[in-house]
Amino acid sequence: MSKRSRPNLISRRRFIKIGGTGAVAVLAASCVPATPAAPAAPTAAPAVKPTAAPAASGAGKPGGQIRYAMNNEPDSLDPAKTAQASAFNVMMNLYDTLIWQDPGDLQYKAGLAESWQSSADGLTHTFKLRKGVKFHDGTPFNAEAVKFNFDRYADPATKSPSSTAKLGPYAGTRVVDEFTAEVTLKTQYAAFYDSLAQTWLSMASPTAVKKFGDDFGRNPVGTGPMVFKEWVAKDRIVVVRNADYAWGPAFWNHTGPAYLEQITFVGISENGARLTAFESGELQVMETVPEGDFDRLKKSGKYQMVVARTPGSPMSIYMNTEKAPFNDINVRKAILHGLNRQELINAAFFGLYSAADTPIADNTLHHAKKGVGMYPYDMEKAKKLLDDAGWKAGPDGVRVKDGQKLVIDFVDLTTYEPKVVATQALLKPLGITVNVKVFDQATRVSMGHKGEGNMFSTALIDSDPGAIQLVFHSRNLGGFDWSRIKDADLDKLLDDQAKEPDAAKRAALLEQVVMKIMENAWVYPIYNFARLFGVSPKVKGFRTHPLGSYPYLYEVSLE
Amino acid sequence: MGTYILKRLLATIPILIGISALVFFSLKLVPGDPLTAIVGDGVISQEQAAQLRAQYGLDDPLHVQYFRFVERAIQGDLGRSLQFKRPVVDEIRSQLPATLQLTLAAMVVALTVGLSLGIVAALRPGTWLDSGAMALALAGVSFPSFWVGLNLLLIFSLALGWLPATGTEGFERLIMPAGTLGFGAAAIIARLTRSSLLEVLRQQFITTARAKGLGFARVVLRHALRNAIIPVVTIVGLQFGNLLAGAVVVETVFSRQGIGRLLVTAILGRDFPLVQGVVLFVACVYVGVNLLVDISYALIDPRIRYA
Repeated sequence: MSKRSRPNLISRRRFIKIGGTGAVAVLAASCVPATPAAPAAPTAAPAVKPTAAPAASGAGKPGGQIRYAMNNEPDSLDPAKTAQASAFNVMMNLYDTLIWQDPGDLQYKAGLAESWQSSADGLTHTFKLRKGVKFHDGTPFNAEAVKFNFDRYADPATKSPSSTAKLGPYAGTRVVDEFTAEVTLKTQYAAFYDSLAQTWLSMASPTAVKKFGDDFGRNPVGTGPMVFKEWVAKDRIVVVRNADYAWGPAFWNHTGPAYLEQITFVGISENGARLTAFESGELQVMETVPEGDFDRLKKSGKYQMVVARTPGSPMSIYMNTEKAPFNDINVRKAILHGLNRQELINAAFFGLYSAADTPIADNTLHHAKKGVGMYPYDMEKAKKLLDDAGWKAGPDGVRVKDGQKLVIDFVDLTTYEPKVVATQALLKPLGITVNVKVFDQATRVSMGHKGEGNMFSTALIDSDPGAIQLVFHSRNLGGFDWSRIKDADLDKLLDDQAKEPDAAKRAALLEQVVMKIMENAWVYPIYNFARLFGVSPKVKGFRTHPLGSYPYLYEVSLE
Repeated sequence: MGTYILKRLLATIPILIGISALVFFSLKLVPGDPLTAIVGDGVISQEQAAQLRAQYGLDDPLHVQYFRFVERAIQGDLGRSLQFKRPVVDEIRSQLPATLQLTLAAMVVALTVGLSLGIVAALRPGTWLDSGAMALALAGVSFPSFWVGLNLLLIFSLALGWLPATGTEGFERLIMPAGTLGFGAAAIIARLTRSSLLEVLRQQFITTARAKGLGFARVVLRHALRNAIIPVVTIVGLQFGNLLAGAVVVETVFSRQGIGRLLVTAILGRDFPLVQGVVLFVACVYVGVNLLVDISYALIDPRIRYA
């Protein structure tokens, strides 16, 4: 941190939702027992484009090991104690979830739960568990283990930065019999199944959690395809194949144990060092390839270069509506019309990403098509909007109003500097001066929270669209509501969609949310967020999880 | 001598208290929230942020937090890292061997290269040997270590493929980091050795030694160098501190384990307990090394006595 933190060109953002939201779209078909293969998302859902590559055909060769570089070392491998992407990466191999989201059709499929059923009110969910599953330490997996894990994730004493929020309005788990667990919720919760498919709510060995206590994060024990071997702090994390593994989701490219014998994860924050290690053949997979180098490596033709899109909200510029000049809607509209999106993507990111112009990405449930194309690039219109707003061109080309120059502070992460500089260049012809203000992650987040600056940027990664409340709901003012929106109507729409059990109605509400945001020009979406991977040509079967694009290393084999 | 050491040790207590207070309160002046250490790059709601702040005691007034820290530190407990969720002491302990290995190896490089260059230059003043050695020393002082490190990576890892670019284990992973770190220190040692040795070589006892028929090598190594080395020892002690500081950069460039990289991660993540712990630890090392240097004077130069 990252992290940073960590000089990473593309920082990862994830999305942790607070609880207390409403019924899931998934529950639209409530009372109908969901079978593993049954589509869990409503059929009325707008077209959702799967972004993951299809599963590799043909069986891989078992054996071998890879070295996998992330841009920072995880903080903990206890699902309850971390919120970091790098930890998710490693944990996906160590733990299983009750259900999985299929990267092919984005539906929920059986994991440690073979089938599940929801009550009519959407508050009770009964899971039939798979038999014969064992944790790496020999502890049997059963309903008691489910109860133990969920109770722990819900307990405030666990101090979890992710799991508690993911579990939402959890009320409790009842052990019906050894392989049946009944989870009850206090209120309807739209993102419940979505959350269950994420590693933050995966199943840890109760025996090991009790044994290691606070140190469980350094001694993780799950049921996953890989077993934790060692963690040499600031050097490497080694996981080895679980020979007993036989309970992966059906959509994986094979059954039984993983192909790879061993995976060594290393955290290399320095971009130059990570690239050198990758290009010299020391690493088989490299995450967070800087855009410029991605382009170069791709052109070399020597590697598999993967752009893995994430769902959620695109990388966007948030305009501080509390301060001049963005307290004036016309100035915000001038930015939406006058900042050339494609040129920005070309100049700052080598044209690697696809353009996005609404707050819910088009690979996400309930993406609102109606909001697309509302602000076509139109320099003359932008100039007129500024003229009308009273910002007249000054002698040096910079616009002036009441003796004040049109100057904007763009506060961002150091590694995002190309984006800020490109924005500066592209807004200059409009008579707007952009000050480049780049900082480390902690500083710029704190400045965003306090509104110290005019422009901020972030992307959000989440498979549920309701998560955009984090950046648009007024209860997050002082937090990630960086446009500083305080709009009662928008708040109500956001609250209503979270509670709406009917998929079509929820989609309509989310469309209203998107339209309201775009009509008010509160945000300038730039591009669909993606993570960039460099993969050695020897690696076969590389594809990624729909959320946050974490690779399924279980499927990977070596030539 | 015993009393002297005891006095010096007692004098470190106020130093450490001063440092801890300085670090603690200056950290609070830096923008950024320690919540960053807990949630990393995650985006969280305000409700969740408030809960976490309360759970980790980050809402308490500053002085309360500081005295809680001091109270624990006196009992040898430096608290838990917000980021890595384990005791700060464990974090330091796990990173210490790698940093010690790196600084010692760098010191060996610095002394070998520095002393050799210095002696060669002093024995042939004004020649091309002297100019060459001093030019190299100038380069060592001038080039920043991240630049040297990245260039070594480009040459030896990427172009030639001789040495691994990252990691900690094994001798081959130590060569480039130790070379990078030692190069800067070698430069200073070389210059100082040269000037100090030149001065000593001009003194009468050297002429006497030569006159009584002692061999050249014996005169230089036993008589001249022993006298010339005292200022060098001082600078070596100080350099040890610089090496620790330099490890911050070098460990990051080469993605090595170590205290330096730990500190960078801690600062960027606003992991206050970890920053506190590491800085206090490094301060102790500085104080300790300085004490050792002072003691070593007495051993090298019998005229120096402490009471």
